[in-house]
Amino acid sequence: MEQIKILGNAFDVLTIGEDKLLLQLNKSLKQIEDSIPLISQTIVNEEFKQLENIVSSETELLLYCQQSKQVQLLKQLSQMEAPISRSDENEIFIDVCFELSEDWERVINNIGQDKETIIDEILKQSYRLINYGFQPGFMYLDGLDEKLHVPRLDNPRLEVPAGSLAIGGKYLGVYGSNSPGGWNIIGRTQHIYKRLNQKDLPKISQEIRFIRLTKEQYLRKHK
Amino acid sequence: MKQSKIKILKRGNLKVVSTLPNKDMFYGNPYGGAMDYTAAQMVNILLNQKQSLKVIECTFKGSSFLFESNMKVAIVGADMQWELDGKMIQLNQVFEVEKGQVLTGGFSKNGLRSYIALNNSIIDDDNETIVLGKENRRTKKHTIFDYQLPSSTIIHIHRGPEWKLLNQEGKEKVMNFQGVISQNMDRMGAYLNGSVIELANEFPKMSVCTFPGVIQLLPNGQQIVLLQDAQTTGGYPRIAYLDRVALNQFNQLRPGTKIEWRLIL
Repeated sequence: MEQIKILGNAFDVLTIGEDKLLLQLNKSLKQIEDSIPLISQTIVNEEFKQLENIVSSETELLLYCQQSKQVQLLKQLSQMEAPISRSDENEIFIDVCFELSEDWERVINNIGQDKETIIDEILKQSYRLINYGFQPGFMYLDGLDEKLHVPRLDNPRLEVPAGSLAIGGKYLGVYGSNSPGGWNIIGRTQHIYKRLNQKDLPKISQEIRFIRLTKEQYLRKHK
Repeated sequence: MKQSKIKILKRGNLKVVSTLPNKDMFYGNPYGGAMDYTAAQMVNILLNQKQSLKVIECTFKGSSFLFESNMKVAIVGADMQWELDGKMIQLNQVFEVEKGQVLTGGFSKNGLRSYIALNNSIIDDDNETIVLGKENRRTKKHTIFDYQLPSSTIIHIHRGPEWKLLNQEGKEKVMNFQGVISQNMDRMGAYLNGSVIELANEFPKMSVCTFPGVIQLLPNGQQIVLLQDAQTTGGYPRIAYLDRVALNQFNQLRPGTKIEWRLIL
């Protein structure tokens, strides 16, 4: 098994078929915390022409790259430099309406606080976009206060509307498409995944804050 | 350039697919594309058109199409007893159709998926107009051509990232696995029915990267093969995987087929 260092993180390299490389964080070595989101976004920004697709999870990167180009790609990845301004990136603001959603009763019972208190807690924080995944455009947001964690539904809904804001365990999530889903829906945001070009979408590692709109404000602005 | 239309008269199980995968999996889009790449690319080659043009994928049951003008058509893949105005037509060769003719396919007799390519045509599907073929200036006549449906149900697999979580007994069970493709199958995945396999070591509760062809071991000990439209991450151990050739083969096998794994060391 080969190893590679990307932005100071050691990965074990596994070949999958003739067109994929699976890079797994090597846990025996000291890691920079939460580094995968930053690494995957940095790779996407570089637009390597050998790289057909990239998927990331909590501890892995899956790179779609034809066998004949894999050596070259790995070399380029190992020479990649960290982007200079990470903390300078502006926060992104997303409008949310908490009056158009279904799971409040469950969320209130689980957390043990009233709706307004929970909303205040959610609005207080900013959340780091750590990944897209699961369904087209679905955003995983990290940074939800521990007392606001709510387990996923036992029976997933067959259809959750695009733009829904939801709590799934320790994460906040925004649905990018109409899809089945088992997270607790607490709000509705504008459907940014469909509205924006890919280049204008929030970048992995960017901080996101929510701005509350009343139902009337929301419907006026985002009809 | 005017492109002629093919209209869906009676819809079976069809999807207009690209022969190439999606480019935006980073944003959570599935790999996508045709389930049998070979058949999908070859049907375009038959018509002397770009291999990357979209084609109609029919799964298990054909559909009925009306041609709104003359065009060239080819079908490759599963044998769905395709008929043009009630007259049987051959697979793997180009045929010319005239305005007003109707193409109809039934249940597949052999194989699971048929691919239809048309030159210079468009189709309306899901409120979207999709270009299937462009005007073809090249006039090369016959492409020598031989597509064959897989005849074997022995499928080659490779060890997956979580192979090491199986003990010796589990490994042998996978290596000697004989099971049945269940009815629970779509473009996202295929559940298998077979003997129960257990993990020797617990798989941590986290999500990992998945891909078409990966075999996940479910908590009940059964296996599922993820296919082209599967989600990009998942929470089950990836004990093995099918490579591209094996996946093509698997994707032409119908639910109910008895299969065997053969591990490539």
